[in-house]
Amino acid sequence: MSLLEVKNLKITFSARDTSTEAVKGISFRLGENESVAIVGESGSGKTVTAMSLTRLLPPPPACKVSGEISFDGTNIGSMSEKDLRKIRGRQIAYIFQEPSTSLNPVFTVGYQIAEAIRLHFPEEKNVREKVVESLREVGILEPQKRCDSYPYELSGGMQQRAMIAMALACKPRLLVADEPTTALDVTIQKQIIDLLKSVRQKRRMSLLLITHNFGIISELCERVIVMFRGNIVEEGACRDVLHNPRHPYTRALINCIPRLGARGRKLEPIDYDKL
Amino acid sequence: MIRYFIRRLLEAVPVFIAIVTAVFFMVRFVPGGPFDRERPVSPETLEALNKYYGLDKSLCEQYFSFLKNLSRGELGPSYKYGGWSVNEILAEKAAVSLQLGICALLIALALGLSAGFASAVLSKSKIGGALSGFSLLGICLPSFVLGPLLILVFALKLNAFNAMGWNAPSDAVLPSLTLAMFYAAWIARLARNGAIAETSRGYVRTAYAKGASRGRVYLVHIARNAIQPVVSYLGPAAAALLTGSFVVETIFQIPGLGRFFISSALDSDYTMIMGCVMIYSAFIIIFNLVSDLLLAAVNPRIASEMSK
Repeated sequence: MSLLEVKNLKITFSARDTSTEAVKGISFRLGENESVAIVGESGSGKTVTAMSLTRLLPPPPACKVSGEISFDGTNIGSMSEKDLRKIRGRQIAYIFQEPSTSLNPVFTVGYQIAEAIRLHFPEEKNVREKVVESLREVGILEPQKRCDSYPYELSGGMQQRAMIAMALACKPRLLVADEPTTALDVTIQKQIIDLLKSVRQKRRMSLLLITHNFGIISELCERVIVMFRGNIVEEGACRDVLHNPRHPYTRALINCIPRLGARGRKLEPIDYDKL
Repeated sequence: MIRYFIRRLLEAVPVFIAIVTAVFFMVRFVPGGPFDRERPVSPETLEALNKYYGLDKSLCEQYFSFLKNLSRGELGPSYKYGGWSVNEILAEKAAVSLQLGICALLIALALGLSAGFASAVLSKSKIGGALSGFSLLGICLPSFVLGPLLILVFALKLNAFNAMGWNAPSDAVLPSLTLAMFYAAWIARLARNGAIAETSRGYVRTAYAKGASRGRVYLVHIARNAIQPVVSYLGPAAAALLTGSFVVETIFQIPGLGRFFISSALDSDYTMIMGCVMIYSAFIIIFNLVSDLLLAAVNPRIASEMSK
């Protein structure tokens, strides 16, 4: 049985008199301990899809979500707010794109991680110990000291590590990483990817990676879903899609990856008229 | 942090002296003097008065003797209220204004913050819209309209309070409400706009994503960020509230300091003017410093800037 099942998901945003369908009826599954990437350009609907999994999108009428999302057999859409809070963070945890704005600037990193633990394990006594442990797990040096640091005292890479520590603190079954490396520079990107990879192997947790970067998915994911303008255009094993893309959009996206050493080859922008 | 505090206080000293000096000379360049009356005084009397108060000396001499007295904390006699020293008047009147001001400040904070945050939380509903409309009304309604209105309703029609005077503790209710309303409304708008701007920030989404309730997100995460503009505003607001208000004190017949700000200038009561100016600028300096320290307590980043 799959851990996450999405059926005919439609997401529509409405402003005064216009409405935009960001996601146009997509369906996919994600198995226990499976790692899947959703790839697509900006505006393809991948981030809102990720947000809709725990109903993090603004409430109607601004945003309307239809279709069925079931996690471990329970329907997310019909859940009460209270039950949903038990899923958020505990079962499905998130990492966001911009670590500097995703952490609250006026609380210490330790406080924010401890908050996640206290929300889901109120009986836990050694919260601080757990926080230090989770910071150590994501490779933060001197975790005892860093616990009391404020986000602005950490570099971007460290902030993203702290975000990952916060997401992992409650041992979720599914980690949704929404462009976790986009805001970081290349060397830090590699570190974060390696970190996610090792944590996933150790924890045996499922991963849904949202990205526009084909370069990082082959390292992390087994399966890939390609989204374009709110639809899934291609889906398959990572290797097949990368080496043998069937849809022209996928081909165009893969063509956009800059390659080291490829002299004289111009980076090609996507020509939408051909699609 | 303590070094920052001391540095700010030391920085304030030259500012304070500059203000005092500027005002000292400015009031003396204004035509007319403290003893000009509608009925002319005989030249002999005027000369005697000027001699008695030291006003016959040169401006420079007067300035230095003023500074000398100031260093001992002496502000000299009032020219208008014979037999009273400015120190005595300030001590007695400022105490009343201070009491009134503290009540008004507390009301403004309590009303403003709760209305502001409530209207932010309910910003999409009709109640939120109504609250924000009320706060606009509070800003637009001048105290010389609001005061008599409150007297009419609560004192004359309902008989709940005295219409004027400053004898029983309940006498503080109507004037402090009148005084507080503008500030409450302004604080409500600052808090509301702050909170609404914060709701779209990334950390709010993070807080929801880890399972925090709406109440927790607002009270813990958003409140501490959104309160910062209110804290900055508190400095000048506190100084203005605590030094008294001419309008409110006149409407409610309260023996406070507010009216002296106006009357001393009209009477050219030089020593009294200096007293009022010094109290007001000292309050401004002190409360701006206090609000900066409060801001540092709320925002760790500002605290770290300060301890550099």
